[in-house]
Amino acid sequence: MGHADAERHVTGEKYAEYVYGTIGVMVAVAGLNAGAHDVRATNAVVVVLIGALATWFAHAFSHLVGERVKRQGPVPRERIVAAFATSWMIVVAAVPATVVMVLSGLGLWSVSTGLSLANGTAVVSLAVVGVLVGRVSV
Amino acid sequence: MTLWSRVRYVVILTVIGTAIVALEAGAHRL
Repeated sequence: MGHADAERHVTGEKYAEYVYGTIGVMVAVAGLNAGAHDVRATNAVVVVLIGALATWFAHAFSHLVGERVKRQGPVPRERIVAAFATSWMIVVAAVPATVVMVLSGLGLWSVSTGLSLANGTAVVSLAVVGVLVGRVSV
Repeated sequence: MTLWSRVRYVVILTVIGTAIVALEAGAHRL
């Protein structure tokens, strides 16, 4: 794989992880919305952020487990670092919802509105990824 | 590059996002 190919591969993985993370956020928001009347903004921030961090770790680690079997040997340190770095986009994807819920905690809007806005930012994020991916497709 | 190849990912990802929100809204009414 040439340098440009390798770079495209990483970029593709990052988009994939961002989509994955965004859908993860939407699942968390759906769960929070189910009990919106008793959910506080801080609960929502914790669920979204901890959920994203846990998914990041789980996703990178599961990738490395698979790689270990495929290689039939230890995974080099740079591959481990790369797996965690690429999957970091899962955490990045949780930033819009986190910001929206922090603002809800600061009283800018209600928790229920915040959760709707979190869903809105997620749908917009997915659309933006779609635009970026569409630009590179042939 | 056709228009569809440019817009299909926007359409697909937006539909997925909107479907999740719609399912959520539906579940909320139950």
